Amino acid sequence: MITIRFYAWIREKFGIRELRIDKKPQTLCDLLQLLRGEIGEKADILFDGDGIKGGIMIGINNRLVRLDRLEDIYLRDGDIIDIMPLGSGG
Amino acid sequence: MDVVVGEKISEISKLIDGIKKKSRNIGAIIAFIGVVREKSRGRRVSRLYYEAQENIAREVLGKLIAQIREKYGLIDVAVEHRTGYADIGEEVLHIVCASEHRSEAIAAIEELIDRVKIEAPIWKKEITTTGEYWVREREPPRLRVVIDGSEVPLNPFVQKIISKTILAMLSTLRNVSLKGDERVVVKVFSSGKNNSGGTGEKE
Repeated sequence: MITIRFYAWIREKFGIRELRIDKKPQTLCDLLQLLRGEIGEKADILFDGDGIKGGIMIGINNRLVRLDRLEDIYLRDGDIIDIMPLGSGG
Repeated sequence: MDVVVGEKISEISKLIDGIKKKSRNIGAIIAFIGVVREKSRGRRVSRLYYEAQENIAREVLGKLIAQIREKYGLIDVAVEHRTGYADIGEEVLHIVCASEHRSEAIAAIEELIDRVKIEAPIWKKEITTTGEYWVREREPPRLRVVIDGSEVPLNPFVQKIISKTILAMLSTLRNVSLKGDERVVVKVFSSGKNNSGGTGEKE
């Protein structure tokens, strides 16, 4: 199982704090395609055409990942994925 | 190097004292204190709420500090950011840069403030008299023009044209080698016609 956690305004727009996916997608790219199917019409919050929208950050197991090669990031059972908007601290 | 993301941050005086003790070569310490203000985009703020993915925020800030220290040759840097609720007048962000000379620390702290705000996964919600709103930052601009302290609004197309022109001119100068990831600051000091005594600064 993979857990996806949402933060700040993304969480409020989806109305859920986390989503558990029983299927085990091979890569982060596969997971995001699964997520796109799950969230349906709300996909435009995260996706822009085929890719992730600018300003969205993704973490895996508390480490930020680069978004330029999603298909090269392999997932393992139990991974926790954080989907986060651009920061607005200060 | 000091990174804190949590409900409590150090007093700025303690942070500065701690950094001062790190090296006898420190000649300048520049500190930034972010404070909760009451007015924001025409709304009256009651208080702020900061949410963070704290583990990733610490990792991002640690890497950012290491990068900035190396880039500007700083002796030490500290960044501390509050999470949770903060009332008007409370301090929510402390950044301290120490260097041998002031110019490196001044340039470094400006870049740090800009980058801490958007690169670290820390999000601000304004709780106002008319409702609660997440503050949503946009991607950072390519170019910022400030005249006597006031920022001139520029659309992305104009930003691109002016910045490309400036970079093209700078790249022709002897001893200037641009890699493409630089942060370039151009200050124009013009003495106004009606200002015989002083110097007007256009930054």
